Amino acid sequence: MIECPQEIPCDPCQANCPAGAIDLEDINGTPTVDFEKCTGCSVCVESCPGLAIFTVDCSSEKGCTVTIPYEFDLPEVGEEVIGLNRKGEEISRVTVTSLKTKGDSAFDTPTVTVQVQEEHVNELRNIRRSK
Amino acid sequence: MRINDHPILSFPETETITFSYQGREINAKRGETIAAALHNAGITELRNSGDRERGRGLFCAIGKCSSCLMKVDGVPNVRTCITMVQEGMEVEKQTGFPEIPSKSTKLKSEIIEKKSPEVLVIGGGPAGLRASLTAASAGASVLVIDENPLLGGQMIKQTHKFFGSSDQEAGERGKDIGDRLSREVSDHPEIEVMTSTSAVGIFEEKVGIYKNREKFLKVDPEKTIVATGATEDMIKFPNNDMPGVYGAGGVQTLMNVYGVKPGDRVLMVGAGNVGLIITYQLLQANVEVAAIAEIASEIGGYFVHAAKIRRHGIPIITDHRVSRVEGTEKVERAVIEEVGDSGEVIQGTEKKFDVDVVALAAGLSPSYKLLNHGGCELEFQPALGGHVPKRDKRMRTTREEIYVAGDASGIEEATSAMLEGAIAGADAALSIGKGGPGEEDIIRDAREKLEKLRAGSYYDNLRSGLQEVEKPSRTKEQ
Ligand SMILES: Cc1cc2nc3c(=O)[nH]c(=O)nc-3n(C[C@H](O)[C@H](O)[C@H](O)COP(=O)(O)OP(=O)(O)OC[C@H]3O[C@@H](n4cnc5c(N)ncnc54)[C@H](O)[C@@H]3O)c2cc1C
Ligand code: SF4
Ligand code: SF4
Repeated sequence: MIECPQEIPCDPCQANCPAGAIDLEDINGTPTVDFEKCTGCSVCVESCPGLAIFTVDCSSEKGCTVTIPYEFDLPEVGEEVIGLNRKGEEISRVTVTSLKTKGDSAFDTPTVTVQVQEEHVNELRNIRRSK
Repeated sequence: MRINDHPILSFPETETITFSYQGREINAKRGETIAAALHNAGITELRNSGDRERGRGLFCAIGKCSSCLMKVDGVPNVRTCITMVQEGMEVEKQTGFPEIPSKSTKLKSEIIEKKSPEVLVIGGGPAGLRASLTAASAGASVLVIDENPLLGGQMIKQTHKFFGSSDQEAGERGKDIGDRLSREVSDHPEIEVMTSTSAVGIFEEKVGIYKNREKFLKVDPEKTIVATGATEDMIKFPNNDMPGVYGAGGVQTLMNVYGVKPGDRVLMVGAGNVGLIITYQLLQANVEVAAIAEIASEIGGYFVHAAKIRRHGIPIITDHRVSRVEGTEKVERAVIEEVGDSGEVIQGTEKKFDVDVVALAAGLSPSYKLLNHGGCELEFQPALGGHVPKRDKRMRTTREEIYVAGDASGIEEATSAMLEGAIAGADAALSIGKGGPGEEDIIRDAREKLEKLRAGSYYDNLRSGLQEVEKPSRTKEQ
């Protein structure tokens, strides 16, 4: 899910997608994803400087996951965290299924993947540790 | 109030040193500025205003305003935001209009040194660094000076990744780009670097006189490139001079360069990219942000930057201006009010925030003073941020031997600053007989990239402003 609707001079999402799934007319265009080609690898999530890309994966039988870029104090795998929407409002408690630290990430942006109820996959865009 | 854990930055342990403030002993980290050390110790009132004895604190934190002037080792008017703290230093709060000491004190103004580099670059931000590298690679001898203790300009505090084209530096954090450029410049055999060194005037016959806290230098370059960046704008409201009102960039310098928190809770003013990005960075430094107040009806910054902070629940309140800050000695509260379509305040819409920091991200103005002093023709261009020098497409001002690059030529971004730096550096080298076709290629390539960068609808105003100040080249147009 690319949430980058403005014409800004930027192209790393398109340049780094290994599947060639992101289309951008030119550097000032707005990116679109060809979901037929997209493998869900989340490289774009790590490469986008605007932290504007999230991957939603409902292909597994175990349910859906959402991967978000997350440049804050990282939770642990298995930890229950609070899922937030685009306005930072709480939607539900979710569990961290995997993460990539700044060092693991191909483009230096840490990411967190959480297990999310299907009805929330288009809403959940942030998390907060409950501490 | 040091930042201990940061998701992006690490602040290395350095030696602890001690200095005195009003006779009291204070601990500091070697390598930090006096103002940062005082902030960490909770001292935010640094001086009194000259005539009214009102307390003043840090504002810009990069040496461009006069808010942090203090008396250091008996010398008044020292910009403590760019002066490194030293073991045993005696720092005093400055009150009134202090007397300038005579030569016999530690200001050794009698020491004058001469230097004659082929190219002098004033300012070691992305524009100046790229200009230095380009001119030096063409074979020119370069002296680059910066009044801050570290090279890199505003880049050293940009912890976020930059937009732009992936064949340039896009996707890299600003800080990493700045560090890389600084290293390349410091390692280059043809470039001499002087930090903590200010240009104080550009005079006739190409002579600039430059100060190095210890001594004055008369520099006699063949070409001078002015890459002095920009100054943060102040806005008018009662108590805007109270300690706790900072430039947003000043807040950023404190926390991202020196690892010191500006306070506990912040009201950000302005929802352009600078306000949005610094809000996000405050959250990363574990500082609470109450809200962003924006006077316009729309958010000026990029959608993606606004989205990043919205999802942390930070409200962006548009159509609101700061009406005042309140507090006894420093900021304790900020008050905002709604404004109507024609800018009138709507009564009964006051909102109060208990904050100890108000950060102003209300715009930047090009630092044009040296250019003005040097006799370069200026023009007022709101789309470029204020007064900017007229120049041609090779960044030559109306004084042939003086070039401009970066934010000093109009407020834009680091990517365009570097491209303009490359153009100025290459043309300066060519004009003294260095370099060759390779430098012409650099200029052509950089111009093309600039045009592409500025092509989007976001930049419509900028393009028309540029058209006004760019006069035709003296030589063949590229
Ligand atoms: C919060 C924030 C976020 C930003 N984000 C981005 C971004 O995402 N992408 C992007 O491309 N750009 C971004 N920018 C803009 C970018 O940082 C600036 O456009 C860029 O740094 C301008 O470069 P410059 O070399 O012209 O000036 P500066 O980086 O300001 O450097 C000027 C230097 O000149 C020195 N100087 C000034 N006067 C003198 C003097 N008299 N004597 C000696 N030295 C002097 C100063 O000390 C300073 O180091 C951001 C800026 C801010 C504040
Ligand atoms: S998830 Fe991978 S394949 Fe899909 S668009 Fe992003 S980078 Fe390309
Ligand atoms: S990398 Fe991110 S910010 Fe840049 S164009 Fe792609 S989605 Fe937009």
